[in-house]
Amino acid sequence: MTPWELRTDYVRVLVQRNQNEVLVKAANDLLKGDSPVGTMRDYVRENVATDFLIDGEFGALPIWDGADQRPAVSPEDRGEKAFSLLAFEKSKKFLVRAYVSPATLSKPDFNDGEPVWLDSDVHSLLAPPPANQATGDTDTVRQDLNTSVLQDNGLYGTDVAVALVDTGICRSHLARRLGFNPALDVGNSWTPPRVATMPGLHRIGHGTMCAYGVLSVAPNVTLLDYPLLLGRPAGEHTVSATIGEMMRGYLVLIWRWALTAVIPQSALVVNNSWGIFHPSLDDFAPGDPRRYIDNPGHPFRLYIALLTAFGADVLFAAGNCGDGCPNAVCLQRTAGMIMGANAYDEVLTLAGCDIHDLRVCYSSQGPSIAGMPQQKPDITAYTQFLGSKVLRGPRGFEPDTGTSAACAVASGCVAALRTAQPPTATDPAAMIAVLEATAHPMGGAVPNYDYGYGIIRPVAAGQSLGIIP
Amino acid sequence: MGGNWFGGNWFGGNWFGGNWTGGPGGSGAPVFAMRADRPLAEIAITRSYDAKFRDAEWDPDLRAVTILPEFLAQTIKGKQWQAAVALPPPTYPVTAKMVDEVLVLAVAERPEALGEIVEEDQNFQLRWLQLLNMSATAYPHTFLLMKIMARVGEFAMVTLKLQYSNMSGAAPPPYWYQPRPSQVCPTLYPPVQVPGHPSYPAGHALIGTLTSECLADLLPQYKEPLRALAARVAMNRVIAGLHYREDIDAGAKAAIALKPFLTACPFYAATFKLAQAEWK
Repeated sequence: MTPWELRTDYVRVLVQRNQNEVLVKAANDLLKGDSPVGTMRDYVRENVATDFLIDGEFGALPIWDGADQRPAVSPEDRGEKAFSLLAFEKSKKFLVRAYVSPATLSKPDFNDGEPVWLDSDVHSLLAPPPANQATGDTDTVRQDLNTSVLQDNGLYGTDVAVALVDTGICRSHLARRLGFNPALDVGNSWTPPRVATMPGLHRIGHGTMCAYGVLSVAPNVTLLDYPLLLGRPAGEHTVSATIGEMMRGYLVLIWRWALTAVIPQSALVVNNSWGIFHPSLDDFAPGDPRRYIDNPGHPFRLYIALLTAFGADVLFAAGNCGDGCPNAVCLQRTAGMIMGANAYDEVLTLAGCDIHDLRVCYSSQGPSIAGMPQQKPDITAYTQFLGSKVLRGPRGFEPDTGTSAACAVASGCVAALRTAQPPTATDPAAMIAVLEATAHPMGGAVPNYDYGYGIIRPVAAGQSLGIIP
Repeated sequence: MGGNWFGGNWFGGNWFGGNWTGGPGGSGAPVFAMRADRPLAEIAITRSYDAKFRDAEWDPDLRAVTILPEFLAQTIKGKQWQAAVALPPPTYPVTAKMVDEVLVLAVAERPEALGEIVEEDQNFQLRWLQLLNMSATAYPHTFLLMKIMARVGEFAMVTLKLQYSNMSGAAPPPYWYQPRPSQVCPTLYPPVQVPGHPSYPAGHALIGTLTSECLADLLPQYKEPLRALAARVAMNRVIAGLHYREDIDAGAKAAIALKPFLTACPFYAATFKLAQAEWK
């Protein structure tokens, strides 16, 4: 059955349900790489109504004691303790994806009063601005970041995993552009079930551009390929991924990094050069607790919070809706356009500047959308440089662009610092504080809504952390 | 006369419903010359007075039209197809959110999708032929079956579009219907001609979904790609700026609801049986 076989209109939502054997097994199916369809079949059938349909292919995701309940954990708790706390069997609540009519959703007793959240569309922030000219190249970015000092001190990103949550990586293109074959952990990568291409073998595009940005600063990192933006609901028309798809991939990351510690590296950085384009893509009215874009209580935040609590650094691009030359997808809207996960407290949110240290005119500015932490972006990194050459335009190769590229460069900086400073020594919140404190102040009083605390200075951050003399 | 009689240009510029063409053996309007000085006609030959126009020679476009009276006569649980479909009315007035969604897709997705959008504007069933690696010559009954689906689909689409007139407005006349997104926001500027019929429900979604769901009965092994193709074709019409999201959901919903009325038709059932034999 598909959503349009319902007798009514529908909204795609994530619905909280109490634990039962089926949901636990469906969540485990996801980790084992099995389709949860068979596991969910009876559950779907028992719950189906003329205006309600559970997506059996989505399976179920644990949210333990609920989206607003955070276990007190630290990076030292990875492994046994994390498993004892968060094994799926211990989750009292689960999320399932469902299609439901707006009228039924609005009933107070819908889902027995258990919470419901929007499963909104999200996109990669691929955003060639109107005048797409490079202001430098990879070498000038490296010079601005002073990567030679990082590398003189052994900060190459060795023993650091960087998960690219994006459209997938083309490893051979990276090898051609970088002159070396980057490390890719295929076993710890994860591909959404309906995506046919394999880790490292995806079509050249946005994800490859972001991987290049990371590697241009930290060449020895081990890439984890999470092409979650290619995943999409099986039975739907949508052309984009959804937050639910992102949560599935994040659950795999939480499992591998925190619960089972099968990711062998001593640090994990998660690059997120994606977001929601426009407020119109949120189906609920402002103030509705089921919204995504301005709701700090959306369950995706629980996953981000868990991952960061266990020591992973999570970086997000601010977006490309800045006052000056907002990308067309912003529909001329520039206020409050840092939305959703890109505005969470737990993440480092990146603005973009060119190699002359000037904010690129499309870089989204704070304050964030009302309801979310207002002081965003946090810091700024370089973009608009001729780097990965993943896109060819009428005048030759296009530069790496958008806050996507800035986010990737910053992820590379964090990965380089993590070479000698694991999260057990400096947790992600402390790392954010160091990066903010050592950033090169720009734009007047700091923090401000254009640059945050200023332009990232990984060498100064390394000195502050005591890993660079 | 022949393949293009029903719409070569009569129905508004090669209508996308029943009158799609299907490559070799399908319809089309080729011209065959005969020289005037030594015409073939002057050659004395033995005539075949017992010649027959065989069933296989029927233009499937025209042959398929005869499904309509059967379709209209069907009742299931006492209901005719229109009552069974029972779509909710379109959202009118159109909201800013509906238009913004289409605008975002237009700028974010249209450049990549443009090739598909143009290809699917007319004769979009060619995509199904390609998916199944079939042609009218190799699979004539399956081809006819698709023509039957298309004829019912286009009829249902027009009927449903006519059903939703004067929403929240004064009683007709004059009649008016759900506007196309580009009538609300002309800068959506669709890359193909805006069709000469209203927005709700979406024809491509209806006919595409009906085609995929019916073919999935015939070829269950292709169910997933068939559904994926129908969803893609439908969504491309939103990306093109020709439909709101609710139009394509409604079109697909209508296809699912009316399918039993089509499959119950004797002509469909007989053709289906012949088509099954083609795939053995």
